[in-house]
Amino acid sequence: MSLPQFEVQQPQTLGEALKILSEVKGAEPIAGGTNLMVDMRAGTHQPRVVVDVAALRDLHGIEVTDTEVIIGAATTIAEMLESPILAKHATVLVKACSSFANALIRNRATVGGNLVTAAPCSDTAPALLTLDAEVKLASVRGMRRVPLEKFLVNAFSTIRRSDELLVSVRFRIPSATATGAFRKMGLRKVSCMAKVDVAVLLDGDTTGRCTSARIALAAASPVAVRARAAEAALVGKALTPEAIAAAAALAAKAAAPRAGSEYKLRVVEALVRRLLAEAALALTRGGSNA
Amino acid sequence: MPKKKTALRVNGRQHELALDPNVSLLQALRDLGYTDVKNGCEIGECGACAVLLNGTAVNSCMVLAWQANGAEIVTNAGLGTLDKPHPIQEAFADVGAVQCGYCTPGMIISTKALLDRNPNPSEAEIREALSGNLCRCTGYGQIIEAVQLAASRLQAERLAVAAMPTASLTRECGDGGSHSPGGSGAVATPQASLTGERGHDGSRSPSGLSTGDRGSERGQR
Repeated sequence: MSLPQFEVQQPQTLGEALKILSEVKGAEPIAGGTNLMVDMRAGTHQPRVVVDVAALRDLHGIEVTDTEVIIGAATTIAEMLESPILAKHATVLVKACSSFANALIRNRATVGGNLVTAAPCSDTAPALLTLDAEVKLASVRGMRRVPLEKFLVNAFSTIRRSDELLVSVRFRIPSATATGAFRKMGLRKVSCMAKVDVAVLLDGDTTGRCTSARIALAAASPVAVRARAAEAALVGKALTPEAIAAAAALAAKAAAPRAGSEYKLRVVEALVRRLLAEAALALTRGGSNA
Repeated sequence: MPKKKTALRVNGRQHELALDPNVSLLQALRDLGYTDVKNGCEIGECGACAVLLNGTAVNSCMVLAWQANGAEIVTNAGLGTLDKPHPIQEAFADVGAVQCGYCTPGMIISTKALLDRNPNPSEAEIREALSGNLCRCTGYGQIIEAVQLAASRLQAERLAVAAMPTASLTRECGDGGSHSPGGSGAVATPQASLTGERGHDGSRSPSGLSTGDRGSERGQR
């Protein structure tokens, strides 16, 4: 199956890339290509010019500062899986990466590509939502930082303008006790798209009271969402089975599955309940990092 | 569309190409005659087209050829020859991990990538590493067994190397001609194709077993 014709631009710097995106009509970035190649072959996406951003240095690397973790947009899922920084500060994201597609795809697919594509079943989006992540968008007009929750608008739709490039994603380092959990329900163990993804990040004090709760869902709505009502119901409360069950019921209300997929509401409720219980249990044992 | 100049080093052999921008690495490799790289699904699902791209296992259908410009590519056929198969290839044959054979080159590439990083993987780690390679015949049982067998044979060879006196090791390696560590290995012969892979091994893990060594170790066994 051959691909449609297109032109290639290979900028050497971020500045050059942004100039091309702003000046060349129909130019679109390519990094790992694991979405774009499929869409181009299927004829659902036909960029006139593809701009190779995979080699741009500004888009690579996982860094940690005193307060934040910053992940370059062209970082592959496999690189994230192996990152000691993420293993230390964001196990919820590492767990999401370990359920991502399959080993071969993880070597090419990038976090930026996963977020920009904004598929309903993105695995990185719900994990990053629980981390309150922000994305950095660059264009010749300047930079802007946008909360991921605001960046994701709808299925396959973000607030990124055509001349903008997603450069990095960042989040504040979670507290040392915050505990993350992630679960993907798909039709197979590996190499499948999520039917439902649930990510939670829970923090509590020594008395078992919840001090912070973040819950995010993917594939249960047109795009990944936070279950904010469920989160609010937990904060300040003791993490009892009853409180967790009530939050899980509220989380299901944040889901909006397509007609015919109403079963996902029950899946969301069950998975949120289980993950909150897992995280609450880990917290009583001193918690782990995110 | 203007052609893209693309230099590919495949199984140790250098190719200078001018390709349309929309030619995938899979298509470029097959057009060059590397038909051990199978064209299965072209949507990144089946892994039959897997190759090592600078040591990392990828679906060549998901890579545009120009994206691999300057890269070192190793296909299944670059790992060994019929006369001198790679221990992984040998293990697949010995265990009968092959039925129709279509998935085998990709399976072997993913196995190579795994064992380069993790010489003694658990069954779970093997299944994870092969998660991108579909087999519709064997039910995976024999494939997992073959990876385990290959891992244990490679471990044994590594121990044999470690047990060898240094002087003898140097001499044995030297016998390989272009296989000698640091050798240019630029000759485009099937034998030289092994050096490409080994060169990479060397950069990743200096103590890693080289293909050239392997031949001599086999003699020791």
